Amino acid sequence: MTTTAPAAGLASIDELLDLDKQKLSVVAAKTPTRTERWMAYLGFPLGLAAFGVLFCMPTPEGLTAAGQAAVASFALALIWWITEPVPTYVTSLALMTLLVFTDAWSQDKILGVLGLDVIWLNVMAFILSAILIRTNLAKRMALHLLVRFGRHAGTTLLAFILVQLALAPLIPATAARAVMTLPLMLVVAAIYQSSAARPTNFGRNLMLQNLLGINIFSSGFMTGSTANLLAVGFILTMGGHRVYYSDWMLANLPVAIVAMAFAWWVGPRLLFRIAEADAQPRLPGGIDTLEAQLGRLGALTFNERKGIAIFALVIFLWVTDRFHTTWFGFGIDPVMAAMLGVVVAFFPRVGLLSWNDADIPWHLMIFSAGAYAGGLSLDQSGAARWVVQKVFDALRFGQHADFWVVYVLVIAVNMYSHFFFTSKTMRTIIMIPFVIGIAQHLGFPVISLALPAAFTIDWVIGLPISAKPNLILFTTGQYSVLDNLKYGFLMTTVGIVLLIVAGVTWFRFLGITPGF
Amino acid sequence: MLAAMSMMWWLAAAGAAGAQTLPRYAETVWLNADGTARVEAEIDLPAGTREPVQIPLAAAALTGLTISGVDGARAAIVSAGGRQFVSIVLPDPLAGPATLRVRGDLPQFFAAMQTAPQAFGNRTLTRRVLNTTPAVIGTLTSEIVLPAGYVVTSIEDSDPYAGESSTTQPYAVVSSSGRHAVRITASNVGLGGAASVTFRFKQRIAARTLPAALLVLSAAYLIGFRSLVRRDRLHR
Repeated sequence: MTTTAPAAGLASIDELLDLDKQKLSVVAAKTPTRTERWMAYLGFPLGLAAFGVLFCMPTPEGLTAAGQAAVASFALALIWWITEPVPTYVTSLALMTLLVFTDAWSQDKILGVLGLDVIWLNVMAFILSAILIRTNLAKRMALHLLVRFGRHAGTTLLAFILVQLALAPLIPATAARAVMTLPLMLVVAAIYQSSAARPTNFGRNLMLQNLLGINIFSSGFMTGSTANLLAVGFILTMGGHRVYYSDWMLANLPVAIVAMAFAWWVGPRLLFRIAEADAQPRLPGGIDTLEAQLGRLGALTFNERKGIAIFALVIFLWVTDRFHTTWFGFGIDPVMAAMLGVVVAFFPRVGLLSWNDADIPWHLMIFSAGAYAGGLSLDQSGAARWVVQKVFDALRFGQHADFWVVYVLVIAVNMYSHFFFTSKTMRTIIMIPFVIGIAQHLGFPVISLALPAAFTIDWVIGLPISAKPNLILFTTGQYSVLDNLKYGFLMTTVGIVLLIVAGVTWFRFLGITPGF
Repeated sequence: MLAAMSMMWWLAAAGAAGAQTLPRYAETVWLNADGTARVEAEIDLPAGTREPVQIPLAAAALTGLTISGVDGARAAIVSAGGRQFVSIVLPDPLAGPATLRVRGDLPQFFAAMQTAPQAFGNRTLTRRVLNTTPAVIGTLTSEIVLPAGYVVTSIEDSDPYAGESSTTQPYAVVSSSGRHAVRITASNVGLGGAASVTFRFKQRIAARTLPAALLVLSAAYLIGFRSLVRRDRLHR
């Protein structure tokens, strides 16, 4: 097989697959659109105005001064992250400064956020990701995937959704799934001519659909996240109803699959339209070139085998986490499993990476640290709990409230609440007991409200700060905060509709929700 | 510190004390800006109570003591554990449940109000109510009402402890007669049990310069960055 010469204006396959040119640690310069310029221009004073109003108003009853300051600071940051008058990492630094200067949270705790497990997991994730890139494993897997499914953007995107569906029950850590598939996404995006400097709608769909898939498929399995298990614990201890793995999966996996099918359909057609001309890999020679490239890679090299072994070790530890205590006498957290893999990868002679190979986007770590500091200050100051309390108080469910009205409001509040939390666990701890309390107060079966509410826990798709995989994928620079918000808001709304439809049909058939 | 950590000391008579249960003890401490305070306590007594009810609102620190709710009840000073306490003596065994109300002034409740505040104008106050009697208190509540114009900055610690996975909080930031307050609640508090809360508070001062500074900053940005939305650039 031979490769064809690149046509005019098209990069050669070798250029496209040179991932050194797509270093995540380098912030790509972008040309903002007209809308983005206006948003940036107005976003700065809008953020300041929101901060000023919220900070200077009288402290509401039930809220601490620290909570008020945290809400005001977070509002400013949220507006700036979305409108981007300054880069997102600068907003994070500004937020951390504001939190200290307004006495919202203590300096040592804010600075300590950079040492949280989520930041460490991100660092380890990017080093592990470098293994796939350095050894050409990412290129090989992406080429396999593209040769089989890549003749059209639709099938390529669908293939990634199926990969995420397959991984969800195996690897509970969502960040781990993001790490494993990120290099593949980068290679595929590159072949479709989408990069951080020049993101295309294919790139936006690819990254955001993976973000949706990683999170939404977690909601299909009881072990999809620790927060799911926590919710099940609350339903048992506070509501007296045991939820089994099969109960959860049978009820909500279909909802997750339908949601992702809709996401796959709506993204390229309505949100980020992919022109027919961009729906095929833009390569001189087309798919044949990819087949030729795959052929040139030949058999697995020694380094590739080494990379597979290291990844296999880490994935093995991720997959078998429930057996660790039995085997080792202690549990191995996903971050420590990743760190073990990184130690091996860097080990002289045994490993295959040097520090210079590690492509760690520190601007993302700063962005993450600020986002987490903002979210944690809302939690620690009691502001998040206060907001939730006020929302439920405002709903004022009467003793004779209609179940379906309560159901719709509970699902909507739980779903949209993720915009104000950076921790699924904290959100679960605050929201689910509230929902159980409402069900008990109104005389509804606890499971009829609490379990559907628990199904919303993993729908953390609205913003890059909403979940760990969101942060990881945001580093690719292939979409903006606004892009994420658009797709995320649409899909959370679709999720509410799906859970309502499921509530009156499928959940009712399963005996979760009551009859009419 | 003694003033900030007043104790409640119920010394029931020997013998019957072991079985005694008091449904509710609820106190409200109205803190004044000069550090003095007025305390109002309500104690629900079950029918048949006849033993003296002794409270540790240290007799030496408490002034202007008044008692109401039970006809004929009178106060006496008793010594226990080397300290003096107020003992409420009931004239007869109670025919039915009753609520005893005790009021008094604490001139030295929070002397730290007289000293310079910490960073951001904060002061830290700990209120601890300790049950040292064998009687179990069903619900023990202590509410500290801040002086007018003061707000609660943050809750630092509490007993019962509110961990990260706690679904309910033992404390609440509430409003009492338009003033900000902190309430701590504990249930079934036996001998040695306590309800305690440590919190920071400060005077709320209307920010005058901040809105002006934010306006200036906004205006400077809109002028300095107007090139962002200049027509020629938008059409580029």
